[in-house]
Amino acid sequence: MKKIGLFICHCGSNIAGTVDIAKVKGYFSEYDDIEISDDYKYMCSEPGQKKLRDAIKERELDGVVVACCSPRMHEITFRNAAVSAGLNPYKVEIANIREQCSWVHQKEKDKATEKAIAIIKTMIEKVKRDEPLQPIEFNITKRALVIGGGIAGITAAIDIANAGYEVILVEKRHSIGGKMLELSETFPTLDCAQCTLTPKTVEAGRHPKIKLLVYSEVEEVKGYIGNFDVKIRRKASYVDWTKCTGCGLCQEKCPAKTESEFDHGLGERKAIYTLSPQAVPNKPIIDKNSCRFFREGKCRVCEKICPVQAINYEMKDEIIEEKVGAIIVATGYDILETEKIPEYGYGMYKDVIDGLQFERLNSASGPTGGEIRRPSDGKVPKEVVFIKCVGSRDPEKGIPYCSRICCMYLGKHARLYKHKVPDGQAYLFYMDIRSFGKGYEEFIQQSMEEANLLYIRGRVARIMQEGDKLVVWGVDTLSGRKVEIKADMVVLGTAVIPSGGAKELAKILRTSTDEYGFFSEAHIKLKPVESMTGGIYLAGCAQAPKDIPDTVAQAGAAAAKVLSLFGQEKMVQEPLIACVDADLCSGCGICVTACPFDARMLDDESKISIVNEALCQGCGACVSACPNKACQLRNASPQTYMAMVDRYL
Amino acid sequence: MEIYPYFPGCALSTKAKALDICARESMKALGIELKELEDWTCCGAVFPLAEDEHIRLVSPARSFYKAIKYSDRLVTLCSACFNVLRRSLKVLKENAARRERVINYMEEEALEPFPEQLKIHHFIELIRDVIGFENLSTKITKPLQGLKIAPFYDCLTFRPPKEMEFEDSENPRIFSNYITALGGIPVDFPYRSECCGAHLSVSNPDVSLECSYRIIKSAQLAGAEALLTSCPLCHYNLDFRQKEMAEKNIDFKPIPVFYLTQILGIALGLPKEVLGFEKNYVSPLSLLEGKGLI
Repeated sequence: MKKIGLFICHCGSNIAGTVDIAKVKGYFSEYDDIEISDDYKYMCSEPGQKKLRDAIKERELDGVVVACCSPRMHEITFRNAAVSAGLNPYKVEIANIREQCSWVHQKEKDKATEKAIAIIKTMIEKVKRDEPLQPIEFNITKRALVIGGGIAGITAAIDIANAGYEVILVEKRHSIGGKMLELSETFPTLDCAQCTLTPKTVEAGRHPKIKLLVYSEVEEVKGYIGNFDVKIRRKASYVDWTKCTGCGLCQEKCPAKTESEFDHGLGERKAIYTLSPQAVPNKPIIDKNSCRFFREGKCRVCEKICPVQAINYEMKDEIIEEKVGAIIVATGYDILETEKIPEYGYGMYKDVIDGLQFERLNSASGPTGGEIRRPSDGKVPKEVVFIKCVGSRDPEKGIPYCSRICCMYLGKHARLYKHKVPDGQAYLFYMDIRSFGKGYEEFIQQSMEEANLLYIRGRVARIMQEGDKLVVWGVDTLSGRKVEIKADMVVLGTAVIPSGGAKELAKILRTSTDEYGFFSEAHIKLKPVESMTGGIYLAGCAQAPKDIPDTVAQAGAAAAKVLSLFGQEKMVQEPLIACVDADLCSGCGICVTACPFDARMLDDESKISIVNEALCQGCGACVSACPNKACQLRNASPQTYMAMVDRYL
Repeated sequence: MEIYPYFPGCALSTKAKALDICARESMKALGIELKELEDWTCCGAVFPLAEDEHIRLVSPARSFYKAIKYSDRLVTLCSACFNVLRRSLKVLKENAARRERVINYMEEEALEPFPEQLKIHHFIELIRDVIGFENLSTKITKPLQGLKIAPFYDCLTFRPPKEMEFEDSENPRIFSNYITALGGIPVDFPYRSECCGAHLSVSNPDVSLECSYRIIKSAQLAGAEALLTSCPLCHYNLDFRQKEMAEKNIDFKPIPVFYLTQILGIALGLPKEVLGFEKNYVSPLSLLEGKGLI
């Protein structure tokens, strides 16, 4: 004979308005195993919880059913109340008579009352069979891995490091700063991007708690929240950075030139090079594809010139192994290749450039030293057309989403252009202007009214080269007229897309991306920085397109999530996970392949399937796959469910 | 000799005879016979956009049943025929209800099952896929050395892209590759796929003339000595209407406009009578003589 307490919640009139509470309460007052059948207007309120606590103590209950709203809402409330009264929390079950009963049967009160009774009956059967369980505890490795050394990764790394925990910051390129370092000025304040960013890159480079691994990529991640084992490939730089002083002599003397990736093809760099004058760390690498020695076997100028003998042509990639407890993904973005938009002639017309190319043209460290000169012939362009939503918001191109930054940065570009070429004319074609951030709308208003930028609401159909002019065919939808502009240069606000390799990284991390390749958050509103995998957090454009203020905010939030994990003594996990009946398991291994979380494996000695309790999420995939019914979920055995169904029928 | 059923269409039997004769004779020289469908009827002229307009699909369907007796590829060359035949076939393959309605109109002509395996091939696809551009360049006897030709991409052959499933309509390359295979120099020009004015030549000839004029100026600015088109209507607008362009613009210099198949005929060394230059308003003879090509 069990002693179970039943507590029925009115939820104001949400439940009581449809279900006859007195009838339900009366039905269960003389019911097998029910010690007490009670009700209250709001069970989740403090007096309601007190009723539950008092009953557990006074009547020595060994199980509780609360008939109320969905377990997603208050299961945790009542389980905590039970714990404080001395009852194991896993002996508390919720009978959902609101979302699954009163709300959906408001016009059929008698039937709703019957259904509420049936739901409660089944949950009584479950609670009778529930085992008292203890939460599972693990140790936490209190070090973090941050993937991506742009503004998002740097911010998150510094926040975590300042709290006293070690951070490994991995960056694909050979210095940190990401896309922000390529920008000239930033909206809405028009302050210099480098001036804002370099204090951060310098701090990250010098921080005693940050281990910087540039020119490196994450290759393998094993383990689970609190205990990840990571393998990182450090690519061969062919320069011994422990010896290199960053004097720059090798860059000066190197005879091989190639297109600069940092300047987006508008400038040149040497085969041995640092990314920018403000590079952190300020150490060069040799690009094998353009180095004369690697291509032709002759040269070795850098080796001869280096005063500290740092050049090493024999260097090999290195694999570094690290243990961390949490991972932040901050892999940033790329922009859509403009070759995918042939109607704007990119690839054929040199003077049709993208937003990042304009940033380099305008940058003091860029190929023109900050003068606005067009790529084809170096002339100062007098008529410049800026086009928004190129690729973005275009389902035909497979990118229906808004890239969120183009409205602002093209406005910024046009303003900066007018600063440098006051007698030039800037035209901006837009669909509508999305200036949602703090100070953004004011910036756009000022651009229109004071900076004399010509905003044209409409799309551009086509760009054609005619002589040394670019003929832009567009439409002004406000006046309903066709517009034809003979421009000297065109700047395209191309769509923001996930950075190359994001999908492969998601596979390595065993987390998911959305249909476009951005990392998926666990909940779009309530868990925007958590990934779908425990212990892996998201920051910046890796999750979705966003501007610098939002990126920094999200990076701070991701760091805070890591810190709240590291603040715990031990990891605690729900024990409602899979277990194996060793007597029934034949070691076939079907559960190992069925498990989406890599939580199942065969024990080396016994050859019987075991569960990694930290990784198991209790999804039940193994339970349905197991041919012998050896896999079961705790407190959810087939016997329990059959008993519940029997009682209902 | 390989035989492919061939649908010439009305324009190629009248105004655009050069396009037709050069196609047949060139193919013969390359070992392929284009066999004209017996008793062919109109291609349909305009593809019906109304979902319930079935009768207009009957005429193309009739050609499909005739073609399948010879091969699973029906070759056509006129841009309008190609557009209508290809889109009609796609609709009849994919929409069972419309197919049934159309077959109901046809009685004894459609006793066999609908020829689902049929494909509509543009002449240039036959060259690309059956002969191959690389192979073609080994078979020509008079490479078009030094001849700068600007290929013009008409709308009907390439659009709507999702239904035509041909080349990238925004950035087509196929005619360029064809010119290269024939030993000529393709000239890329910005207006290569702009509207030629099309049927506006009838209802609003001034607007249409402006469209064609821009195309020609753009090609000339890019250094072209001749244009190339496969569409009879484009040819009319771009070639014949140069008469008016010259009247309206003092500095206008005429430029020959070749049919797609004429340059193949030249490169294969076909006799002058076959090449049909008397049908071109702007004669290419002096240009070709200058290059030593005829």
